[in-house]
Amino acid sequence: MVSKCAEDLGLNSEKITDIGVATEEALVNICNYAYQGKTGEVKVSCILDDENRFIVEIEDRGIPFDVKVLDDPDLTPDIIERKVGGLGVFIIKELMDDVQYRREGDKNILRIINQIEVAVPT
Amino acid sequence: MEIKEAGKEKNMKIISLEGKMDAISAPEFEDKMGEWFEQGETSFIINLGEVSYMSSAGLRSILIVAKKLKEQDGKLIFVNLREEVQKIFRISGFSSMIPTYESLEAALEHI
Repeated sequence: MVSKCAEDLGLNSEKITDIGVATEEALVNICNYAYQGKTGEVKVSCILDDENRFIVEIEDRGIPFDVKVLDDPDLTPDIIERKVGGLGVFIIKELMDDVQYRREGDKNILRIINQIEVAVPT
Repeated sequence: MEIKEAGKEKNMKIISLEGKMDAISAPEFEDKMGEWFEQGETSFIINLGEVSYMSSAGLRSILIVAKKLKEQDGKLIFVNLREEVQKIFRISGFSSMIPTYESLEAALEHI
């Protein structure tokens, strides 16, 4: 749905893939942790704002989860020492231009943001 | 995602993956690799030429498999990474941890 939205807005295929991956990472985290084994809802919306930013807003009512305060994983160890997991949020932060989080009542609201370059007429 | 066997060269089993490596398909890869591992295969070349999408779930499965093979002195090499997948490998530090080559031929030359 998000990729289709990005495609309809004419984003290039690299951006579409990046946004698709970042959205999957956010949703997988919600599925795995937000509702702690119970079922719950998640709402996803795509917005193109007036600053030409493509924003995917993901809302859930699970436990508070501020992706912004997570430490980045250590990428230096070899295969044996390397910790499994912990890459999802890091990938979101690396692929997107900005990531915003806020807790509103019982909701987590995550906004993953991609700045769209506009072709300047010559 | 499709997982195909593509022969054996220099004692390494060659596997070709096709499709998306995401939270849904990655466990399939892990399971299939586990089956081959149980059959005694410990060295693999994985062709990612037809993989257009990789998420952290894919990386997770790759790391689990890589650890298992490493413990048995096996090898895990990836070839033909598309730009999208290379980017994810680079961001996550996998490029410096797991050998990758631009083609199957290049990998076979270096083994």
